[in-house]
Amino acid sequence: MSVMIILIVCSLGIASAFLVLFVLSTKKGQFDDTHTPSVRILFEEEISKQQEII
Amino acid sequence: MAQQKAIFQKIHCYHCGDVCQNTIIQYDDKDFCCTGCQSVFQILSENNLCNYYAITHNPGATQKNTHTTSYYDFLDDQSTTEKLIKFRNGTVVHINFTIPHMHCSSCIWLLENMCKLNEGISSSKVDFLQKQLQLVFDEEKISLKEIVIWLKKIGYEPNLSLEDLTEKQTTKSNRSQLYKIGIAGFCFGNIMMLSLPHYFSEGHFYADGMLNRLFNYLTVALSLPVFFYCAEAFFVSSYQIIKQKKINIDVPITLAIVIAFIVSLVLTFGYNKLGYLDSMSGIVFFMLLGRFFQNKSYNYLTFQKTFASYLPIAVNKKINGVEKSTPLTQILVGDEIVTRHLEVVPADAILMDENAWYDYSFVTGESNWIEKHRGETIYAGAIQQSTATRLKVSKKPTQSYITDLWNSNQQLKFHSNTVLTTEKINIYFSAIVLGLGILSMIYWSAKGQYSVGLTSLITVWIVACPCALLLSSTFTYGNILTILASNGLYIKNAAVLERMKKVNSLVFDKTGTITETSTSNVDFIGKDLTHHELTLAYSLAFQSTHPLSRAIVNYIETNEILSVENFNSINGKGIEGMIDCKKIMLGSANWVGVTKENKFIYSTVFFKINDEIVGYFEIKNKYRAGITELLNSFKQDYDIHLLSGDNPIEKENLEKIFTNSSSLNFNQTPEQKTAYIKKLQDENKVVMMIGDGLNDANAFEKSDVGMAVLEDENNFLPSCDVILLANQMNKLKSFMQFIGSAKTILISCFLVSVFYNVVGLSYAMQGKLTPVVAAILMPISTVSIVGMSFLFSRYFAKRNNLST
Repeated sequence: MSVMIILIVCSLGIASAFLVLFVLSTKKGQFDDTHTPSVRILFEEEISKQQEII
Repeated sequence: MAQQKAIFQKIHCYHCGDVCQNTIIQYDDKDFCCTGCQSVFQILSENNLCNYYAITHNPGATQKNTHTTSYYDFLDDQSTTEKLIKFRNGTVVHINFTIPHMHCSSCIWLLENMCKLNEGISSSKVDFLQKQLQLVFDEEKISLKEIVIWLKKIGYEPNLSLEDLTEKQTTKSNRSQLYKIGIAGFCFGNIMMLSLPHYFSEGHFYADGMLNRLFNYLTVALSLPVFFYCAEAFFVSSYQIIKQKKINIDVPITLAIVIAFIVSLVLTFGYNKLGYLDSMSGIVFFMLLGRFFQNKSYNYLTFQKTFASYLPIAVNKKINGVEKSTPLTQILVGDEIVTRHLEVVPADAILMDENAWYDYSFVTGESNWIEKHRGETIYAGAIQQSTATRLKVSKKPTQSYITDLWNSNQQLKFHSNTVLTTEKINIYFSAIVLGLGILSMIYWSAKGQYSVGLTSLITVWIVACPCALLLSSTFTYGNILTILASNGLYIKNAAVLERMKKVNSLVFDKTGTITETSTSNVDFIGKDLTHHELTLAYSLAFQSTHPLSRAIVNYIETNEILSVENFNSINGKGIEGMIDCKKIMLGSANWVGVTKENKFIYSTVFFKINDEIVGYFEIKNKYRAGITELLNSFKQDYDIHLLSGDNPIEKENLEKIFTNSSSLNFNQTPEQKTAYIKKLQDENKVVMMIGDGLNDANAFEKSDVGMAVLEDENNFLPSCDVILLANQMNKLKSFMQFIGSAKTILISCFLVSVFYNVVGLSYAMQGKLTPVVAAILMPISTVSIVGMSFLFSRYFAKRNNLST
């Protein structure tokens, strides 16, 4: 049954790693603005001349 | 390349999308409504930023009402700029601007490409929901003033108000809430996982005592952060309320959490059994989640404005005959200042020029502009409608009338944390549960089975925690607020929502609320005018700054101006002049010589060519689209009243809309409005005041619900409970019906949670409730209630034709 101990340690470790990542990203402001990035990702570097005229 | 042409058809400006009036400017085969719009386009095309126009159609803002570049001279002043700057690292400066015009993806694209315009700007980042632009720039290459002027040039003039100079508090509460939810979720999930084996073996899964203990101790360890960190808010809130000898919903929650925690510790360490820690952390997690959802604020809309955000950051002060842009904070009594067209008068002041026109609609509700003469006092908050005038400051900006209006009684209502009805029900429910627990303990003790009695007491208290009941209301309110917000109605919090359900009297303001603010409807009544005759009227009216003349100028869309000789303007009568050897007169009936007495319900301007009166212009307020239907639909269920600060010129028109004329009140001062609402409340009416200006601020405060109608999201408005976008005004009836249906949603969710509670309680009172049943019951009830409130609120929104 001692294998259980290893498994628990593993699962808790992985889960805490995610928790730490979540806290860090919150701290960096990832969840402060949830709207702009969704728009920003759609911008292309250059839109062709044709579209510009439309 | 830029050329002008006369127009007779509607052409939309390529930059801002407005219909071009009077003139259009052609540049690069595109039409622009003013030189401002055209120059924005020119700058963008020179810098290869024309993608701006490809992302959204006509994304710009009209450039007609912007400040002159010299307005920003105050940014040369080191002490002012230091207050605006957020962070400085050597010459690299970080600054945040509020850009009111930010409204579409084109805006984001252009503002984030600011660094292409000037090499001094190293990064620009947009926070769309907050309408913030974060800029990083090198002070050696570009100054703050230059940046602001760049922003102005590309059509994104930042909003710099007096408020920006005072200390800003950045709220980090949102983040700490996220931490708490994250940690509570982590602990809850892991505790559930560790408890799983116990569920299926009634707490004695392992023959191996060591593993058993390990599982239990780990569970306790994981529950510690939940109890001491995540649940902190509940403890603090209930401690504070008990100190005031009152009770709120956090008290029973705290009780349940504390009991569950202590009992579990005793069970784990004393009997080596699994406790109720899974349920406890579940309660905390779901409650935090529910509150986060319900309190999700619309941070770009501020319900509580201070007068400082209305006043400009700087004014033009005249020192020894030279105008200098000076921060408002440095203006003293006796200073001479100059205000320009459409600028806000920053302090009570005395007019030093011959005469000038002011728009007081925001302060008093009066829709007509007011003419002031030399030596008269102009109150702060008035908007200048004539060209530059000189004023002498008579009171400091902080002591002016507008500030008094603001500060009077802006108290309690906007701060108090009222207890919701649902919370009251929950408190009763909690009391019943406490009683039931004690009863069942007495019952079992009387039978001599003390240990069963104790278990039943504890489990009753834990399982019947008002969690499910409370979640149903937090999630339902959260859903309703979100749906309403997506339809353009922003409600401050759930308490306001609950008050809105009870409203039975609606009080409307006129100017800006049921009428549109800026545009007026002009009609010409009389014989058909030829183009030449129209040009005659236009040319004469063009010479005058009188608001009625301006309305006529706007109405006649031509660009031809004939020269006027012997122009004469007679106060209170009209204007006259010679054009093409014809004597043209525009003015009041008596003055032009109309003999027949007619009663006019609108402002009228008669038009006379030589000796012939060709007809008259009728200038009336423009009512918002659909307002008549809206008010008619309200008649059945609500009392409707009108409180207007304006003159009763449109009374007859309004009488058709409002049923009885006694509910129409004109020429109301802010104080009278407040008194009127108080009178209604004394008749046991629940009043909602719907208004838009500062003159309604006191009435908002007095009424049960204050709703501000907002032309666009960036406009300024007084403190209120609810913000309604003006273009959604015609949906008000649907909104009210939808809010009314909240009750149905809540009751159905309540019934479900009561059902779960009855099942849970019946087990618990028998002393049979094991941690397994508790652990299964709790998430199922939570999920089903959350799901139900989600579906129901969307169903009712659909039924009221609201988008979801």
